[in-house]
Amino acid sequence: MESNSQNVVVYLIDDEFAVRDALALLIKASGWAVKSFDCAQDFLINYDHDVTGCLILDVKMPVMGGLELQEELIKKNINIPIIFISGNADIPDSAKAFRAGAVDFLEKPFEKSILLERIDEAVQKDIKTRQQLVEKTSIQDCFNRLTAREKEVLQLIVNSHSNKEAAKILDVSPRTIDAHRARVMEKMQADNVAALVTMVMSYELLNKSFAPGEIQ
Amino acid sequence: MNSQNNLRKQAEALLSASGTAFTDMSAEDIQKMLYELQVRQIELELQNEELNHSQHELMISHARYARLYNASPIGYLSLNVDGVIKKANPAAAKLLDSTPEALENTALGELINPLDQDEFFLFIQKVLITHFEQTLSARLNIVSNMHANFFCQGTKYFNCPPEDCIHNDQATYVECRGHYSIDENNDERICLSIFDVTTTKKAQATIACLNQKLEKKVFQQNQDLIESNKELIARIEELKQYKRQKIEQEAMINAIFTAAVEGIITVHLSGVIVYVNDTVESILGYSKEDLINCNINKLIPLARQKNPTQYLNNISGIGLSNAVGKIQEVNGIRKDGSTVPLDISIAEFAMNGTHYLSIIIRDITTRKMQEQNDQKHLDELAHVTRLGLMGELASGIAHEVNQPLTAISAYSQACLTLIEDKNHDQTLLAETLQKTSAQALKAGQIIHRMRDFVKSKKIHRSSIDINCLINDAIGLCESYFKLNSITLKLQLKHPIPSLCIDAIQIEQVILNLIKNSIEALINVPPSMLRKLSIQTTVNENNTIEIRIKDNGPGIDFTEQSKILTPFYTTKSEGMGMGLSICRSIIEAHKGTLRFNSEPGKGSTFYFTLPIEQINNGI
Repeated sequence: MESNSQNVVVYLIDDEFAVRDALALLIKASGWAVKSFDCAQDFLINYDHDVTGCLILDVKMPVMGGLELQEELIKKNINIPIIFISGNADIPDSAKAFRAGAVDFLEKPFEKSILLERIDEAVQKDIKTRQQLVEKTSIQDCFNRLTAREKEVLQLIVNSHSNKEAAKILDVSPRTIDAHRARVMEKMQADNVAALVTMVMSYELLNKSFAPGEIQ
Repeated sequence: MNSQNNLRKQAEALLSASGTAFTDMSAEDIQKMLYELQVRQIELELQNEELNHSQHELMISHARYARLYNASPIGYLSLNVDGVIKKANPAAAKLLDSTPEALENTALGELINPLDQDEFFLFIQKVLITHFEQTLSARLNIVSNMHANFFCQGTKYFNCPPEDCIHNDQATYVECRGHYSIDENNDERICLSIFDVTTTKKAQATIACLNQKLEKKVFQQNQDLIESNKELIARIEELKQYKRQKIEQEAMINAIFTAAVEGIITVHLSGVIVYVNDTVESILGYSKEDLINCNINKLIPLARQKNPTQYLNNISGIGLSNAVGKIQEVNGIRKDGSTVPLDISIAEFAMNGTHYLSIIIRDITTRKMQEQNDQKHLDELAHVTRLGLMGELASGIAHEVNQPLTAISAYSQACLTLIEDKNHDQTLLAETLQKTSAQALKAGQIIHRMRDFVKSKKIHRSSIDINCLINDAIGLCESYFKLNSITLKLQLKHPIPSLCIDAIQIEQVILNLIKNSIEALINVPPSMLRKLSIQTTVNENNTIEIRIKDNGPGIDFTEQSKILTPFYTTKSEGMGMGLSICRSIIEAHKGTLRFNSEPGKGSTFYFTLPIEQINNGI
């Protein structure tokens, strides 16, 4: 953990000085690098996209509250995991936060152990997300190399149609389907059909318009 | 001698013509004749002597006539048939402003004023035809020398304008009397006596003029008198009316005195009671006989007054306008010795030169009790709404307390973590503990403030700095300002006079108004600046004014008239008692609560509280 935290930053936003100061001290004492801000705007200016980390965010703040910042980050496609902290955790607020992907919603004051657990969890999530993003980008690159016909064939394969069925649907010979299929496998760098299906499903490469129900 | 010779010759001629023959006469006859002649001669001599005597007398008479003619004050003129003057005496010449010689052969008509010439010729004709005496009044062309002697007093008495005066007429008035005669040459003559009547004429005219004016004046005065008389009659009628009204008024006043709910006491300036009405008896339990000639001090003794100086000022400051019309509360003493609270007002009046006081007293026992009850109710109601207000603010206050608690929790856990490290930084640890303690105190303060605000049920007035109270109230809603991005602007006057008020209740008002403003400001989009300002000022009428102003959406005009009434609310939760209680609290403090609001621009609520001197007592 300690070694991990060398490249990891815990961001902290709370408008109340005492709370900010105390939490920063606590998190720092637990071995994390902390960057604290008294408002959301300052965070947006200083946030480094390339650094792994998580965000501890106060819900009620003047000008831009925690939930508004969350929306803003989603809009900006920043996927930093968020741990909300709030003086009075009301259900609608926490529900909204969770729906938008919050790691947790902690009610002030809270146990150090829980906070540290959540930070750890959030940082892991960020690391994972960043890895997934790398994978996703490479798969996307492969997918982009497919021709339109090959994408159609891929769709039918993922929907577990046999070569014969696919040929019938696309009104071509099974041989042609064979050729397309081989090219798709090659371009997507998939060892077998199962791997190809997993790839396509997990990264949701296909648009809804290619959903099997509609093709039939 | 000559004439005698002539006479002789004539006589001789006559004798010779008669043919008498003296030669034929006998001696006897001659003798006889000679005698006759001698008698005749004597007779003639006697006659001659008589004639001489007559002539002498005649000459004397003629001289007397001439003297009279020339010296007469009346003018005499002798005219021929054509009206031409043939002879004039000096009086006539003087009248006609000429000489007798110059007047001869002058036509008298030329001297007559043209206006009267016709009359003149008619007059001449009448004399010539009738031969009777005729008279004529006429004006001459000659300026009279008589008018200068005349002085009319009309200007003096009647204010007649001098230019209209009859005396401006300078003509000479004459009166003529003419009669017919034949002179020694057998010519027809008109003898005319003429005299100046200008003075008489003018005197007559003046008298007539003055008479006329006098008559006019008398008439006018008569009219005036009639008018005055009428006025007097009307005045008498009016006086009668007044008298009747006065009697009616007296009756009415007597009825009022008898029927009045207030006791009415009339006292002499010395304090001796002169009159009381029936109500005084029922309020104080004394009979009228007990009270008349007693001193007022027996009913309203100085020693029993809460504020004797002021009462004394009122009683002894009589005649000063400030004593009149002021109602003050005093304690009266009943016959049985019990005390009764009274409203008293005093007025001064004078009757027959003696000054009296009219004292009106009203039994206010019921009102006093009512006031106490009202105060008690208000206090209870205020307490209840205060609890409600605190409930509404509770989540904010909880948040306010939770912040230091969170900090405390974090600080202390950080300390624990630090301690785990064998080489921990002692200074950092101490600093952190210091911060922890400060946060704990902060949390405690908030709780104190809140407890103070809700606990006190009893009204307790003390000398308070209103600015401190405002700061306390702000302390309870700090979190609302922060979380709703409300910019708070304080304009508090320093130093500010102390107020004798119930701190809790006034804080309640301030808090309530701040809370309302916050709720209004939440409706303002965050993109706009939400502003709340609180201001204290000292007004000229010895009051302090507190203004709480926001730039929220304001209050609809239709709602403005209702918001201060109980149970009116625009909020889904809430009783509608807040502002109504605020107003009651301020009014119980002898202040006023008002507001201005403009939809779309914001609202300002402001209230005043009187600055009261501590020693004045309430």
